[in-house]
Amino acid sequence: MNQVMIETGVVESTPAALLADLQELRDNAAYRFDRLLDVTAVDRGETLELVYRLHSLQTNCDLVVKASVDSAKPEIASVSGLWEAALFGEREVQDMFGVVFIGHPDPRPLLAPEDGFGFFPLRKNYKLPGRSGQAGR
Amino acid sequence: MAQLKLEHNGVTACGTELYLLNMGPQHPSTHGVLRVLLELDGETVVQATPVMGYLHRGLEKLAEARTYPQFIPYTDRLDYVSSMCNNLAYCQAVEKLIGAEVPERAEYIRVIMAELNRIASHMLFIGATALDLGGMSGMMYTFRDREYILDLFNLASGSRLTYSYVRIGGVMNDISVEFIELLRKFLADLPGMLTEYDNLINGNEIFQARLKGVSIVPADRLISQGVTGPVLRASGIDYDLRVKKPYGIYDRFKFAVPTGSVGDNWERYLMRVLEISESAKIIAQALENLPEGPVMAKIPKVIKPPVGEVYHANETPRGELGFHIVSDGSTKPYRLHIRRPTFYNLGCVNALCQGVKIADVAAVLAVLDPCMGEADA
Repeated sequence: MNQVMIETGVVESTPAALLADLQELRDNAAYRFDRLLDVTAVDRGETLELVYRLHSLQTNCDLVVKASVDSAKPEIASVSGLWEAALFGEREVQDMFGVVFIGHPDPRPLLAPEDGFGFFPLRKNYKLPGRSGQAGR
Repeated sequence: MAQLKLEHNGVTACGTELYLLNMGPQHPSTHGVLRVLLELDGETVVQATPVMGYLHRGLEKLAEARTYPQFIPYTDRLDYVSSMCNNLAYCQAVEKLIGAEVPERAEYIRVIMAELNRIASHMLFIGATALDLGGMSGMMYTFRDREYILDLFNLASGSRLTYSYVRIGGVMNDISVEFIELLRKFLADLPGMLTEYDNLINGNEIFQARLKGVSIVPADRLISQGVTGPVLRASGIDYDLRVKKPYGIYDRFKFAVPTGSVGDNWERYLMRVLEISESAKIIAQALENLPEGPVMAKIPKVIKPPVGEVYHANETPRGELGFHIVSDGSTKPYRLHIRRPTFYNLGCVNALCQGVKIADVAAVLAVLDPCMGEADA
């Protein structure tokens, strides 16, 4: 039984190098990250930090790969060609943060209505209306 | 003259013009508000596109305007048939962030509750699957027995479905002597209930024929799609977080993780049936070793975690539920992301449906066991 337990490591990447880096992590026999568990993003003000959570069933190791894109022009290559999980994960990030995933085969809104929300709800510049918003930051 | 046959997406059926059928969002077998766009060639599915978002409430945004304890009731409303497991995953994530220790008794109670909830969720699943395949009476039996568990939860937490029972640092209340007595009675009755399901549902020839050999997908495809939980295990991948990355005190219990070999609808169904008795074993061991003591750690009234990030995942009845919390040192999360198992499991709907007959789509969706409250967040 594989019982390799390590704390999740974090690797910083760049939008330009992301696709090559992730391909290396998936295909290199030293890493073998065969699963993309999650794609999400964090609004850091000037930049949007994309978070790719990888897992290897063979070694039972986790790895987080981060890449920051410019909030004003958020564009990054889609990794849906490497893991099909990104098909849904990237569409969610696109709805919530407005990140454009270049090369995504089906970039329609997923959780948002067909024509989008008209805003990007999980960005910090979107304030919740009403009582919820007053309680917010 | 050779007959001309059209091929769509690698699926060859009768080769007619494609027919687009909209299934849902108000369809009894979609278990909530899932809509599936089916492209049909005759009766064979060529393409199935899940459409979701009808139950999107923006929980991740709401979390940014709530303090850490205030978000617990929202986790109840993620996967509303296994709220205890959601509570547990969230509270353990926050405890990891603030570095809190949980009293022993609370740890055991948490395991009992999470596994009871797994049984309740799988009972609902068995009944709903039988119902989707036309076995109206099957559902009555599993729902009757599930009600027993809900009564237990009611006794412990005061509510049947939205418990908020697991709290940051422990659990809400200690369980009573009456609870333990009723739980022991339930565990004694459970084998009889399972025999009843075997005779009534699982052993039914028509039921088996409807599920066996239908929608077999290679395991590597499911791995690539990020599928977790019983659906992945049915394809022979022995991956259960309770064993592979034990959280809480799960490393103290002996139980088996059922895995399949073929990965068809029948095995996906069977995984849940087998998991019920394994969960019962865990509960029996936890009851056996239940220590005395407090059920709540000394947690500050105002929780102010240090600046940092944490990810904590639990094995819920549907797969890996993970909470990714980014803290900026204030009383509210800077960002809270939920890795929802159903959301990623729905990614394989197309792979599962391609090539199956339209009558089996309800079965495919049933054994996927989606919960839309969770997928849409």
